[in-house]
Amino acid sequence: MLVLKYFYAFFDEFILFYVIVVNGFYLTLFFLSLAEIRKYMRSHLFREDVELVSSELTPPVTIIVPAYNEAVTIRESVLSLTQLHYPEYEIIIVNDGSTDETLEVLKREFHLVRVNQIIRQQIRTKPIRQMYRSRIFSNILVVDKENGGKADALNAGINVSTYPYFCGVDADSLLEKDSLLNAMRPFIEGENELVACGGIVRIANGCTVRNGKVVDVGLPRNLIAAHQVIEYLRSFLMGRIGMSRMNSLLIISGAFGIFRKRDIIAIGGYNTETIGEDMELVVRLQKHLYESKQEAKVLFVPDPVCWTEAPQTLRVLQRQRMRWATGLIESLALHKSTIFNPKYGAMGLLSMPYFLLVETLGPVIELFGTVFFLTGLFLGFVNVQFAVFFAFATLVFGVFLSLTAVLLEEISFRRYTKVKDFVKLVLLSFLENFWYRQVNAFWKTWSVIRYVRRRKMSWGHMERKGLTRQT
Amino acid sequence: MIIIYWIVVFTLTVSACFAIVFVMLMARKIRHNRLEKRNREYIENVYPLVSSYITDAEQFRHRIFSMARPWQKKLLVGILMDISSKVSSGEERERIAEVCRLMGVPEQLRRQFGHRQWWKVGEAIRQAGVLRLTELMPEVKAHLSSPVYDVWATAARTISLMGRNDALIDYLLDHYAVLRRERLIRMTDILRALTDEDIARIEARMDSAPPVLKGLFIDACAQSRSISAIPMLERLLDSEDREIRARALKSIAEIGFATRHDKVLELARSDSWVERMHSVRLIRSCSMERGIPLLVELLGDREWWVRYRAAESLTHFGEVGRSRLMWAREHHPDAFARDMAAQILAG
Repeated sequence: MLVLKYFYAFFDEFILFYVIVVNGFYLTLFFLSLAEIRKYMRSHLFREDVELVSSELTPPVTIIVPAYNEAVTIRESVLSLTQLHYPEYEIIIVNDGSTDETLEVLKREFHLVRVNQIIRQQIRTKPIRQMYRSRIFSNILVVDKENGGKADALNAGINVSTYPYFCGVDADSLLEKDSLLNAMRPFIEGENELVACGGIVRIANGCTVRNGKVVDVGLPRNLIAAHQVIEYLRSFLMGRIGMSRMNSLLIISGAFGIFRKRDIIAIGGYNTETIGEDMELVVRLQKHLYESKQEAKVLFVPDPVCWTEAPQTLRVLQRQRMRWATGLIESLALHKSTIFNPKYGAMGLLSMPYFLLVETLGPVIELFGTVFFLTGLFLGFVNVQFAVFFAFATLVFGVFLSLTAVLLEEISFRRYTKVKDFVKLVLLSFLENFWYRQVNAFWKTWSVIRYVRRRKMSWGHMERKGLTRQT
Repeated sequence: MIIIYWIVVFTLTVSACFAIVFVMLMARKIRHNRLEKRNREYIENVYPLVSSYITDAEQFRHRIFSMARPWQKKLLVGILMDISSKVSSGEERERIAEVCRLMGVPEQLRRQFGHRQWWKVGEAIRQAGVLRLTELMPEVKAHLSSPVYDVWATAARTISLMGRNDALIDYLLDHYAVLRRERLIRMTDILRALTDEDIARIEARMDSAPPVLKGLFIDACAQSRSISAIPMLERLLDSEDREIRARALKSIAEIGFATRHDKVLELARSDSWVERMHSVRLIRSCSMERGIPLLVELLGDREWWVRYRAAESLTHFGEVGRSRLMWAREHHPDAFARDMAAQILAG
């Protein structure tokens, strides 16, 4: 009993220390993001595109769209890509062995004709069956290949691409007209050398989409999608901007990210063995930069926007979140030599430990901590007053952190203009701390257990509702 | 107990912060929406009046500007900037500048040029440019050397908008040794609508310019589509620098007029594929029928881009070009030429 008592005393101290450190880190991220967004919004005033669209400094870009069973959304998505305001770019859609009508939709909508093209296999991929060019959009190329997964499809796109930069875009995403130009701007204007740049991903559910364009922004009516709005705002406007400011950004969303092709080929392309290929690529890229002592950076820019469809049922959300969690664990495991390793600078001392201790182990600690607390309360080892106040403090701070995401949105792009949307976002900030966070924590913990027990995770099936209706 | 005490303090502090942030954001949101509505209504009412004053000089509209409150003046400046970006007549521009002087805009901008915050300086420079307040030119020029990217880029853009490309050209030629390559390129990108005087100025100092700047000026001439640049560009076809020759060919092709046809046809047989390709483009854009046999020959060039451009250019010559392509598809001695002709005809 005495042992248990000491154990609980130690556990109390540990949890308190852990919560203080984690929340302190989040606060730091918030202030860094606030400063960065304010700086960015100031230069927003001087945004001029006239010279950029005809400048020698504006490099051509390949947009690679890996598609697997995307018949419902592929037309809108590709249409949005054809309307981008950028001088020179090509669109390569990689049909990764779809079993639905994805290829038929593409053939019909874009008047495809077969072409024979010699491809330099710089990265090994599954065999390509056929290639097609569009008769109505001369910069659209469709690659039909055997199924090999998203990473394999992206690698195939890299092999086929002719331009020095490529942008990976999900087949269910819509890019805004200026997204590509805004995302390439740091490469064109920057003082520093860049190898990768990510943009913000926003939830399209609840928005009105017409002909590949988001014409009216609104919050989704579906509660699960609405929670994800806050989550995405927090993750992108706070998390990634803050990390980017510390030059320790380890994740660029697979839905929208730009990379310098030669660096990706140098590191062997996307890893087809992991389910979180987007994070694993950036971690490996950063590792390569540190090891080769290059000054080049990975950046996040808050302005270029990619709209995506979020899951609206718990089942689909669960699959997505468990896949992300497993991908994160796999990336950490593959590159564990960088964790707490000063050789890797901010990456080794800050971001990798953060992803391990907070993003991966945090939900486990939270869940088991809750169980221990309740058990301790029952056994009388936990001070009731302390437990209540502590739980309340954690809740209040969690709500506050969610609200900071709304604050960052309000001082920056203010996409949700209606007062009722703002009130709804604040209410969601409250509500998510009572069930949504806990459900996510449970899924993440389950993913850790599955990984430890060596159970394989697959992509599963994402139910597409399509982007042309308000949902 | 002490831990509980600190937890309570922490909770109350965070709750207070939460309440403050929420109230602040809510108030800001409501205020912002209200102000937007007010501004939108004011602009809807005033825009037609300002526009008619600028275009028709109806004198009685003067009071809109002289009696405007500070928030209205700010909106009026915005309206004037919007109108300024659309008008093209000198008289209308002068009227805009006159209105700005009436509202004290130049003095206000001059004060802002000295601001510590670079974004305020940049905004002032931008307004000076859009409103074409040429009396502020010296202050704007001084900011070309600013270390802040947005400030010097805006200053360069403003100088070009004010029709003073000569100042930008002189700055580039006088400072190229200390400017980074990217800055040189961006500043040259900003050069728009080069006048004959600007081209003469470039031509006068071209020999002393470094190769990178020469190439950029050549591209700027192409963008301006100015015929008066042709003599200078055609002289550059004799340059010993291959890059300069290629750029000159490209620029002449973009302008679409050439007199030295023999030189172009000679460069179409150059050992540099870039020169051959640009020569082919020039033959097409200048509708140089003398070049048709050469285009047919270049269908069999060893470089894909040359073959492609040659085939594409032949389609530009109507039935004559098409018939040559059809002949090439069946009878050209080179297999790649037959293939390229077939592809272009099929497309």
